[in-house]
Amino acid sequence: MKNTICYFFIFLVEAIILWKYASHYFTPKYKTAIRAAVLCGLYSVLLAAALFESKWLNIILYFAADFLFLFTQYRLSWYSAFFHSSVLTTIMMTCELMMYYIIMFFMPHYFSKNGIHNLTVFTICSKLIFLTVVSILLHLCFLKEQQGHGGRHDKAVFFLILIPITSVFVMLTFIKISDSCILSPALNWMLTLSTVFLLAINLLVFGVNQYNQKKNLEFTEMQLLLQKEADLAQYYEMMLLQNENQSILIHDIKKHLQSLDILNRKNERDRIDAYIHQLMNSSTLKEVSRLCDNEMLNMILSRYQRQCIDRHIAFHADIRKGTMNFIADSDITSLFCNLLDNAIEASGCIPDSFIELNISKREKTPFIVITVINSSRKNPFSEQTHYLASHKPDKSRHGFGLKSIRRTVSKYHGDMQMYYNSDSLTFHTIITLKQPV
Amino acid sequence: MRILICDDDALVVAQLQNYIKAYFEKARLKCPRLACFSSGEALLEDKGDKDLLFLDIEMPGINGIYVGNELKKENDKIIIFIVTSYSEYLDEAMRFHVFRYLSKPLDQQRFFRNMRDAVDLYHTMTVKIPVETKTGIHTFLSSSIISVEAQGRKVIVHTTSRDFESVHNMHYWMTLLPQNCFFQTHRSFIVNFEHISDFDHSLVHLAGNRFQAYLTKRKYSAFKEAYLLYLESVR
Repeated sequence: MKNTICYFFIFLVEAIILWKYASHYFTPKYKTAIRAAVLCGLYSVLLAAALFESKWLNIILYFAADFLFLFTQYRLSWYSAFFHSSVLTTIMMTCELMMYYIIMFFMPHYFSKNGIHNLTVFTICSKLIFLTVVSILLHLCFLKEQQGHGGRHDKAVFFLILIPITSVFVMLTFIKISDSCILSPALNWMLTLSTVFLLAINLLVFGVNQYNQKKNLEFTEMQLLLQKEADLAQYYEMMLLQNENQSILIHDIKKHLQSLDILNRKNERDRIDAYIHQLMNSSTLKEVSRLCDNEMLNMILSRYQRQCIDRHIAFHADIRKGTMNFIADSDITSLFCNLLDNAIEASGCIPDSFIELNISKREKTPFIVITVINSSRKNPFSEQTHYLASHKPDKSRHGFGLKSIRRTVSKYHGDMQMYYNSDSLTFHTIITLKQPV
Repeated sequence: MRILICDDDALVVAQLQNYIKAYFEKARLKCPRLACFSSGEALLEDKGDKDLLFLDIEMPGINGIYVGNELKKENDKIIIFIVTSYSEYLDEAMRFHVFRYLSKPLDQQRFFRNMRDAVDLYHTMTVKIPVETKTGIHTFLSSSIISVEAQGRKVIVHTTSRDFESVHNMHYWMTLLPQNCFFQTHRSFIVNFEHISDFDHSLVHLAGNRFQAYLTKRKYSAFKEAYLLYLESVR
């Protein structure tokens, strides 16, 4: 009975530490009461299993409970949950083992007495160390995992997970050695130091992982910045080109008038008509018009408008006022550049092709509705996989555009849908973004 | 349905008339009544129905922005196309909801696409639904229905004006209501997309949070897909 009470407090402290860790690090999926109930349920199973007194079973169940709690109750991917639960398991074990060896060094017969007081003192000390280490980790961590993105981990995190898992195995080996023979003070010291090193290695793994995430974030931001600068440069180049063309046209106007005068004298009305229409439809006479009230989006749309003119794609943009003002410039860039790149890729080399972009606010709702409809001769959804297939030459970057769109949509709590209409041979993208109240 | 054209340029009016007739011929539909006006004053004096309007901005006398605003005040269901040769950004100047901006010279393919959207929207807005109660039959535009809710054995139809207790069951309502505008979010709720204010994983908020409907977890994805398609159709 006394042992059960002791175990109850052990698991209570461990549950509190897990709660603290998860709340600090991840965005919850459910309300506090639901999360608390799930945590209690999982740790009750741990408590029941602890009565079998099997170290292996305890470790495996502790890891499984942490994994299930993180994965089901917080917004993170399963491999992220796997990484964090393995790190927690290792820290918990190293703390216990460290305490075990320290006590054994000073009091070699401490654990042979098998008293409840001894177990209590050991538990309090080891859990205090565990709590301290986790608190230091949380204090030192660079960044909180992003909302709704399942963390910034990719599957490469599995290589890092190998280290904590190997550490657990090494620690269980240490325990087995300690249980099977009496350790000399020197060996005891060596094992104590080994556990400290194991803890340090695992903390280092955690730190390296954090550092990688931070660098990835910086790299993404840098890429967006570069894309934005490229847009700006192209826009100004386009303006210069337009000015140059208009200057040439003004310079040539006298010649055009002379030609028209000659045609007029010859009374060739049809040719005059054709000449005037040719001049009127000249792209140099078209102004660089403002397509929307957002400066950044305007630059992007102007650039794509120019590309569409060059590729003989009819481009129509209907952007309603005040719809894009709550979106960061970097997000506007990644969203619309990727959407329009895909639309232009699909609409190229099709007679009478078009791209229609609409952005409007749905009245009395927080939703901004973005629709892109473009010509597409073929259904871009692969028949086998039902995923979008890219025809871009650089296959190594396939799928990044769509991922970037989804990331932005998710950031603004929106939704996205794409479908192909085989009757009108058009591809439709519908996006909603939530405007903060 | 009555379609109005208001432009001081007779060539544009003629072109619009031709395109409208061509659209309905292509769609194998009867061409609705057309009425043409050369000034905003003449259009404002017209007393007939106004369902769909092609409106020029720059006209002698009162301009298109003023005319559109006045007409929207009279009838907020009117679908207004702005037809303009002005190349600058226009929406900043608008004080009313413009369905589409069409630039001159008109692109026929785009005109047909936009006409199809407008005609679909018009039909969606004008579908009439009979609500049979123990005391009689009341007829409403489908857009007036906010939601249908099963409360025990009763089936309540929430409309923008008041609630009605229907004599029919939920299955009847699901088959009667247009599929593109209504969705059964839960066995006890059918919601009108038009009145959705917001939604999350478990609730749909309607008519500025006046009503709420449960959203079944397994229907969440289908609901989102249907709602996004609806938003595209009425954009």
